[in-house]
Amino acid sequence: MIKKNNNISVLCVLTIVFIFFSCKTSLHYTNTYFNQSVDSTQITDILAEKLIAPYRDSLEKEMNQVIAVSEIEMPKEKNKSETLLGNFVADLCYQIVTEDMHLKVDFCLLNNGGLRTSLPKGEITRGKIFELMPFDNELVIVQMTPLKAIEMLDYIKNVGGQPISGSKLDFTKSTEILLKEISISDTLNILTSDYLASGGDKMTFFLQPTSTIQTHKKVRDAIIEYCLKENKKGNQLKSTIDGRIQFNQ
Amino acid sequence: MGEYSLINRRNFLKSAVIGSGGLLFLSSLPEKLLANTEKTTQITILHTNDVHSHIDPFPKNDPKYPNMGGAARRASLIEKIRSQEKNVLLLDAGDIFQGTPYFNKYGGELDFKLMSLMQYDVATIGNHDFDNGIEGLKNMLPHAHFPFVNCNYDFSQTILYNYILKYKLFEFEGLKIGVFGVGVELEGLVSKNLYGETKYIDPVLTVQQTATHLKKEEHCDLIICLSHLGYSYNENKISDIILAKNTKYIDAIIGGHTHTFLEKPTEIKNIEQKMTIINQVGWAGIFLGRIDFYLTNKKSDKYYRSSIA
Repeated sequence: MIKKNNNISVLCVLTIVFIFFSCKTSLHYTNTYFNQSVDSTQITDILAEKLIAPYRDSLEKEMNQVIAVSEIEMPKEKNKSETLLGNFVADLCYQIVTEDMHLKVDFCLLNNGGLRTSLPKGEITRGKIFELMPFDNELVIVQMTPLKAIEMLDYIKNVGGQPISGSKLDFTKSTEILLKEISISDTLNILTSDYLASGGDKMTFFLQPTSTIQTHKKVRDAIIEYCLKENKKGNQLKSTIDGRIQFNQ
Repeated sequence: MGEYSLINRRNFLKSAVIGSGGLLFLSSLPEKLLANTEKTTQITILHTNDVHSHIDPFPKNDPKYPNMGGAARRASLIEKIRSQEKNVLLLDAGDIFQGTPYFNKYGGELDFKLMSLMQYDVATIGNHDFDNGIEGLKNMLPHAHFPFVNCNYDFSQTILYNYILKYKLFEFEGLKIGVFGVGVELEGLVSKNLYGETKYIDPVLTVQQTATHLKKEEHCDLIICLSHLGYSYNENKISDIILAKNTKYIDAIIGGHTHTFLEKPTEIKNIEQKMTIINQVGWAGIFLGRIDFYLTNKKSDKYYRSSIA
């Protein structure tokens, strides 16, 4: 290796060391991560802690705020045609956008994968809603042709159901009939998240839409708004399995 | 220099000489080498990736990482290493943002302030660092008292133009270290309205151009690539492994994106049959990666040791 200035050749020895947080006064080497004792011995840097403290306090105050009370537990469930949690979130998104924002929506489609935790029975904190919906996805209304909507219905049928609202899907009926039950218009207004609208969770039927209407409302903010509203009215949160998606048995 | 005693302090476990002329992998530093360390310069690289706004440790009842991580602990660990070592570089391989309400509420302000407090030297950009748009990233930059590097995003049509460096040079005791960055394809991963007019450039060619520039024009003694491409994929998608195999002059790739916990660094023979190592330390700041480079003026061989068996 030729160097311009000092013309030295270089010997490099690389020592790769993973340092575990439980390190005491000297460095420990380990080939496993989990069997280290954690971590009452680890010093907390005073300056860093001082920097974090006001942010944490303010955040905790906000996150620990009880924003609603739920009458029932709404568990995160997989492989079900409909879930209490999915129905709850889809219905409230539909309601917020149509009733509060006065936008036209024929149908709402979200995805189970995007609902990240169960809601417990009893007090619901703001932090719990952040756990349920950590992403900053916004609600959008995708305007699509009936042809695309048929693709959408086939998708929902093939994946065995997703959170929906605005219309029932009885898959014992033909797709054409289901489509007419949603809307007979040439343009269908489908409420979803911008993540799904960009083809997320393989929802490719949302791509190349007729147009897209931005609501600039985050899904999480819609949930929080709904909780606060119901709480103010003295209502507890509810959800039911109402057979909105049915398959051939 | 204090390196001699430092080397003796440590127990190295694994031994395998790969070949001469390239990077060698040794279990214990040969006595001969230890005897010749008068002109050895130690450079300590500390690194994180995919911290994802994990400011606080995981809760004590977390099923996977109970009471692990935490920025204030990382800060004290880094401070301790700085007090022991003379030449320290602190790097981050991207996805600093998104993952806890700290990001939702403060938009990365606290993350950057903490990294500045810890004196990070340079970071690269991950896909989640676009989660509040390029504007959201730009607005937070004043809180970051360290530069960002990337060589394969063309920001020229965006407000980030001139804010992101292609590479950053460091000098320790006359030795030059070049650190550059490479990012993952944004289309399909990040909403277009967030990354805007940022153009993704195929990594292999532009990475090689940057590495060659650092080697031939800047005469770097050590070249480090901060990558947010991801460690490897089942499909034939560009990754750190593929990048290492198809390039030259890169000594180490510090990776991210795939949240890969490497039990030991991966050794790849690059296009010149020389060794490039890849390291990645999971996510959420529950580990701090450390690489010590020992550079001397005695030999032209490069040696590489790992304690991780």
